[in-house]
Amino acid sequence: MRELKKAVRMAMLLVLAFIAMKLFRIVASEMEE
Amino acid sequence: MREIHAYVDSVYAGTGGKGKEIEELKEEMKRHLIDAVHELKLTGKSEQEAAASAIERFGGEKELRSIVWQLFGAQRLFAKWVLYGALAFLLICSVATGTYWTYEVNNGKENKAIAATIQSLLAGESTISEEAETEISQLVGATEQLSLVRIFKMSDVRQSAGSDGDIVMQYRPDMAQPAYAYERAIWDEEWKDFYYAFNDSEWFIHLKARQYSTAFDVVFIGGLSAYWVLFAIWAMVNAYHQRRLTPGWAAAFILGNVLGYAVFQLAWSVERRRGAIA
Repeated sequence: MRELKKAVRMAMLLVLAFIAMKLFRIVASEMEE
Repeated sequence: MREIHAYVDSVYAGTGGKGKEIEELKEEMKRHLIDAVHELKLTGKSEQEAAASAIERFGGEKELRSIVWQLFGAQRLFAKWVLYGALAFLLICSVATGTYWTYEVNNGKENKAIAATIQSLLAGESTISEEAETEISQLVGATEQLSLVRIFKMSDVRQSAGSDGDIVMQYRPDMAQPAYAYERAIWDEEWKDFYYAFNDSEWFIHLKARQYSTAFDVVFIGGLSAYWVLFAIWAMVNAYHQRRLTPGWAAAFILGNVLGYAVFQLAWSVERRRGAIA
């Protein structure tokens, strides 16, 4: 159970990191134009 | 033909010339101008003269640039500020969450430390001395968040409950009289109770600490919603500029936000690759 919780938390962190990266790139490209 | 390219680029400068729509318009404008140059050259003009005449015929650079900017620049600027607004709300939200979370964690740590100090003050004692009472009230009074401390004899709050063969121990401070209580008036519209029962201790401690969770919920949910809506609007404006806005994509932006937009971009690159192969 603890392992599963750890894996879910890790997956959520990865998704959050992806969203943050995507948002950063969107804003960077908007500033460039 | 360098003059023609420079002219068209200057007309569209500052409109965010990377969009597909603008690229297409630029190409079309260039085609018209180049055709005009070819025609003028047939009448005996040099290439430079022909280019200058074609540009003059098309309209003054300043006038045209202002029309193009009005058409596309204003839209791009609107989209840009919508995105910046979304980002501002997200930042406010993140900072508020971080600050509040730190505040709660620090308060939690302080409460636990105070309970441990009270515990060590009373260790081995069977009654609470006046000296200890003063010290406890000073400890609680020095904090920002505690409005109440109640200290119970463990034997008063610990009760066994449950049916035969299934007896569990439970703490019922609501059913007992405290051996000592200190209360002070602070603003605590919303509070949380903390109970501490240490191992091998004769004393049970109840602390009441104020919270700001409702105010924080309003800031968090409000800020996040504002970000969500503004980002979805930005994504829709962007998709509209690319002539790819459909109800399906609009739903994807509203429901999926950044993830919806990531899928939208992925679909676009797949489409383009397929187009290039075909």
